[in-house]
Amino acid sequence: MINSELSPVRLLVVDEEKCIGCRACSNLWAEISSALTFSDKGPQRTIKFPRTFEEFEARIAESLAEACPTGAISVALADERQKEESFTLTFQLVRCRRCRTPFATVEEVKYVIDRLPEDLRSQSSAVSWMELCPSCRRSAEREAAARDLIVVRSGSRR
Amino acid sequence: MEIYVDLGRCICCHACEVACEREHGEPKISVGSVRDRASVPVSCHQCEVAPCAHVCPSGALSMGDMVSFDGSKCTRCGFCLLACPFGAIDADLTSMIQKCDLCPGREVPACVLTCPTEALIFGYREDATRELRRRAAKRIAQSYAAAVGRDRA
Repeated sequence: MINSELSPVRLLVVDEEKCIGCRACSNLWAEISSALTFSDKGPQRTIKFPRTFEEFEARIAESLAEACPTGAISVALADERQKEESFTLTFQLVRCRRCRTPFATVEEVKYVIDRLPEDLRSQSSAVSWMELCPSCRRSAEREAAARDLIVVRSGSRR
Repeated sequence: MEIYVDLGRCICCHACEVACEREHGEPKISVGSVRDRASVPVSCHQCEVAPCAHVCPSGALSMGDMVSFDGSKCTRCGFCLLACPFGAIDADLTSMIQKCDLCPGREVPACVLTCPTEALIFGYREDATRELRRRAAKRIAQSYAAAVGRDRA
């Protein structure tokens, strides 16, 4: 039998400087999704992490750290439970230039732009789509594709 | 290979969406009308230099003859969604990324096969432009023939 007083407690450690507020950790598994609280309210995203997670298997803890794209998550061992049960990180969300809906954290947008193909990034105007939410990009794409056709069809109705 | 669109033929009937949903469970193509004058189906463009694959941290999205997606590697971080210039990746991030896979089990994708007006064309760029050129030539020939017919009458 395991002596609970001697078995180490796993602590979830999140580096606030590195975490960009994406969903990789909270969406990984149902067990984790239920332990992490992820919410977008107005222009702010909050993620509430559990501090101690001895109930999770070590394998899950490792996968959690592995899934984090920025290496912000690590697992530490402690002798006893921490007083705080959870901790919260907050992020500012970027609003879509067109519909004003908040769609991603400031840090997420920066992370993605930094990793776009070189030749796209080198033209400053080329990544302008990053200011739009995915659904407005789709609308913009439709409008651009249909522009000529609309001119032709509008003309023939006169 | 990619799905190309002959925009003049799209009638916004949503048959492609239905066909895709029957094939995959979720539609990975979406049609919408623009100012009631035209309609445009949008799905993955299978970019040669794909922003989604560039930002994917887990290697779930990769570039080759098409942009392939391996669901087992996906962490659902949502970066691909943010990177796609066309809004062509759909995701309810609590379930899974939805991106056109060109129906690997079929010779021709279900949406292309179903499109009643043949607005969707599947193939390489050269095949698609050849077909579009052929159609344009036919339209010109028909309107010319009609004009000649009117003159004779």
